[in-house]
Amino acid sequence: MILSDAAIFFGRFHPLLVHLPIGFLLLAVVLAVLGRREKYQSIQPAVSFSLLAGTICAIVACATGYILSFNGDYNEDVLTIHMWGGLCTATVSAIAYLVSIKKISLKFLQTSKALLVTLFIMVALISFTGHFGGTLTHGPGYISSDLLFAKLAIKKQITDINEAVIYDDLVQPILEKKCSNCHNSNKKKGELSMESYLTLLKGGKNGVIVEAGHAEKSEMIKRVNLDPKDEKYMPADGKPPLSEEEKSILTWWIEKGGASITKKVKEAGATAPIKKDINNYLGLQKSDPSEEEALDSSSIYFAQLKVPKVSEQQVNTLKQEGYIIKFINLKPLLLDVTLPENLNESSNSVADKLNKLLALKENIIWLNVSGNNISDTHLVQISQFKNLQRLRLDKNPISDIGISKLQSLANLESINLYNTKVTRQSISILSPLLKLKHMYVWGTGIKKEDIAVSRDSTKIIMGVN
Amino acid sequence: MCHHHEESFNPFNKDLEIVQKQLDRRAFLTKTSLGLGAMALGSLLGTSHLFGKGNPAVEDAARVETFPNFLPKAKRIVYLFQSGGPSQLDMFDYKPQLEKYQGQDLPASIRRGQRLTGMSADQAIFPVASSLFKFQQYGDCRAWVSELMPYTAEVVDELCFIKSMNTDAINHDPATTFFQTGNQIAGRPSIGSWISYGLGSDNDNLPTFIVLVSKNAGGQPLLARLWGNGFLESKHQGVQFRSGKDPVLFLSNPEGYDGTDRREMLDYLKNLNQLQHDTYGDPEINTRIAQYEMAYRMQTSVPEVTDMSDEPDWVYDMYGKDSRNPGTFAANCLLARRLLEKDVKFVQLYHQGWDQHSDLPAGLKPQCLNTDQATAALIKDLKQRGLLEDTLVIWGGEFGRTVYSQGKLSKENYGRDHHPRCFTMWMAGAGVKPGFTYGETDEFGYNITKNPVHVHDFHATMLHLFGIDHEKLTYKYQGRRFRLTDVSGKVVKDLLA
Repeated sequence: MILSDAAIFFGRFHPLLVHLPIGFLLLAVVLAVLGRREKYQSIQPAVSFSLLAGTICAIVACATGYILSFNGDYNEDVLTIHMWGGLCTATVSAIAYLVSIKKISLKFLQTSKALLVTLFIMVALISFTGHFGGTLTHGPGYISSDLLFAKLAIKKQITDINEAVIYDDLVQPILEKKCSNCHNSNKKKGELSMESYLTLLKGGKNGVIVEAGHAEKSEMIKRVNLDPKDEKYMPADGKPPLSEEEKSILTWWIEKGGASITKKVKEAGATAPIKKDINNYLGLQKSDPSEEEALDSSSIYFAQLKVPKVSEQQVNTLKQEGYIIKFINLKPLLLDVTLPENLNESSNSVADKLNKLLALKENIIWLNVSGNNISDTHLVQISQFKNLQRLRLDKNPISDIGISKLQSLANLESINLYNTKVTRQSISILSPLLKLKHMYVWGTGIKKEDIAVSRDSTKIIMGVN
Repeated sequence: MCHHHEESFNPFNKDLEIVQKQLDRRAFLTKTSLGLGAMALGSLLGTSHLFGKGNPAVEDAARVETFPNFLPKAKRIVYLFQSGGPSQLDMFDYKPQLEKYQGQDLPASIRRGQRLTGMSADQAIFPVASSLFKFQQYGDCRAWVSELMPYTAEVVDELCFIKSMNTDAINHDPATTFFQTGNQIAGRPSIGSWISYGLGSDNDNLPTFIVLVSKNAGGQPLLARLWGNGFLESKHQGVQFRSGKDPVLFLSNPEGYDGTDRREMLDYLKNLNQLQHDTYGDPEINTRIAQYEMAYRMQTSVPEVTDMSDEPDWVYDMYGKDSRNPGTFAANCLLARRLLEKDVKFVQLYHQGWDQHSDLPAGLKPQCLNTDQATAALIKDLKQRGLLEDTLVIWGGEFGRTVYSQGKLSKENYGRDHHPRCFTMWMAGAGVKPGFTYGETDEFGYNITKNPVHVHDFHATMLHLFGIDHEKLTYKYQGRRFRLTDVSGKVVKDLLA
């Protein structure tokens, strides 16, 4: 039987309309039971109205359901049961209505009892029919006590992902969650069932969907990677799409796992990225944040530094006094501090300024005192900022004597000595600082020849080349 | 001279009270409905939340901050935007095989029916045009650079070339808008605004985001929205310095006014604005207050930074003779260095005129001549001052140019159309690998064969260098949270040092 598009349109309202008779008829039952009490007698007359409304809706639901039955890829057996269940429900509800308005009376029973019996049969029929309707739409076992325990069970099973069986522990749960609502033995959309390994490999009406070793040729992988607006995109009809991890696990299973039912994760040679995806999918462990953020070892070192807390008031007071203070890491709180350039600064005043900063000495990892008339004596103060990673001393009258004070700065990675009075001695003074990578020495007493003979020539920078 | 207000500011001024009493219908409804809502919310939350904990002193200073997400590498950035689409095939992406195919139709297997502009789509033939310019390898990293860029060739060991840049747009305005704001359609905040919004300023006396446009190059138009703030507060927008002798106008006092009471005038104005803010709570009023203050401070800070008379001759020689001519690309590069020295966070240069649809050899030469030396000088200058340590330098246009000739191909002349599929950019400085080349294109330089870098990826990487997770830098506007990278972008970890 071929139906017009308009008929299909109305047919698709079945899953919506079907809830109206359920509601009306169950309401009638509630009204009838409550109405037996004296207190609620006044609601008695509403019983027959509810039954009438329910009956009419049940007939409409039957009609739309009948039209829909031509259009879905539904399991024939279940469909037949559901259809007859629906018709019986409509019939019994009509009888119940007639009993309620006393057109029919069963002689061997009092009318009120007769109504209750009919209603009881009706409720049984609604439950029966509804159950099979649900099976048609969502697949068998959609509501099952397993659900209450399933999640716990899976997580308990897999403690070591290397030992996990790829199909059983990863692939099957993904398919069950995202695919088999429509692709199961009862509701075979596209003649495809993903309920078991065998039916999955068998494929659907367009043929095989999994080609072992060739993810790019496998229809299943192709479809989930299409543009969501594409007609062939899966899961269809706006159902929840596969996550990136789920896609990558399925792809990897076909590509490297040979779409096997027995292979374990370790046997398929899992690389680090896929392991990460599996871990994320199973929620086993949070992925390593440092890897996620592509941080180098130095950044990780500083991110794990233990430093004292700093109060907002402390920072604000210093800011008002003219220090430029920037937060460059929040947990732990690490600071970048600049003294605005002042070439005429007096020696006492700059000593004072540095002293005030000592309150934050462990938090400050970048310090810029460029052009502040810093002399060798001030470097004793600066040497106390033991966590310094970058230090700018450029454009200051400092010499090798001052530099020798800085040997305690074990974390120093970059020091800017441009336009100072240092000489090649400073190179050897600072060479014990193992983390030091850049030493800017342009405009100092250090000559090109000095760099050439130095062991540390790679880190000494005068300019390009 | 204006009248001195000896008495302290009085918000209970009679005139003000009259104005305040003139509540119109809209204000009445807004205030009452919001007020009722707030009261209802307050009772829901309970008094402890409504009135706070009663102790305003916050112990942990970092509590209110969101950024950076991790330790940054870069502290400031200079972005040398080459507007028009520089020809990667004549400057950096060396394709020796092209001579073999010279004049032949670009194979369909390479072209793959990809979108072309309306300017060349109707050509009967797409003749392959090999570059007229000689290429040579330079530096320890053996990077290929053409004879057009002799100065850049000297600094290749500092540069990190990305040969596999690609974009979604094929025409200038959408492509430029895409690069500068992360979206092809105008209206989103520019990169500089996002960084200003996320990280704030390092120098209270100068704008966080300064824009310099070369005066010595015509070409595709540039609009102020490219450095606009979009939906962010307007204090984050780029401040364009004029390309001439006086980068910011009206900094000096007008004739007959000695400026002695300006401070007082601004204070009074601030009080008035504050009053308005207390009434309406519009954050743009705060921006306005901040801008008045900034302008006041710029009266001293800008002349100091733009007066280049303290630069020695050898510096001008390094940047080239144009650097003595204010407003040129070379002079802007020098000014950029001075701004970066003052910790201006984002300096954006624009140089137009890279749009060689026809007569490419004749058009490209002066473009390179006007920019090459100063670009390299900026790298050298930053390096010797130690600023390349934490300054990110970026060079690139909005797209590349096609391997086939637009219009007639002759022995010594050709043109190239827009090509968004692949083009070359470079980064240098803070946190990026020096002397490194990333990504590959096919032998025609038409498609990417390895490691593509999309504009979104580029933005994500840039923010990463500033310690920002590009997925966390968001701003809620019209009901949804926006990002510079929209819903895409991956940090290109291979570029990180």
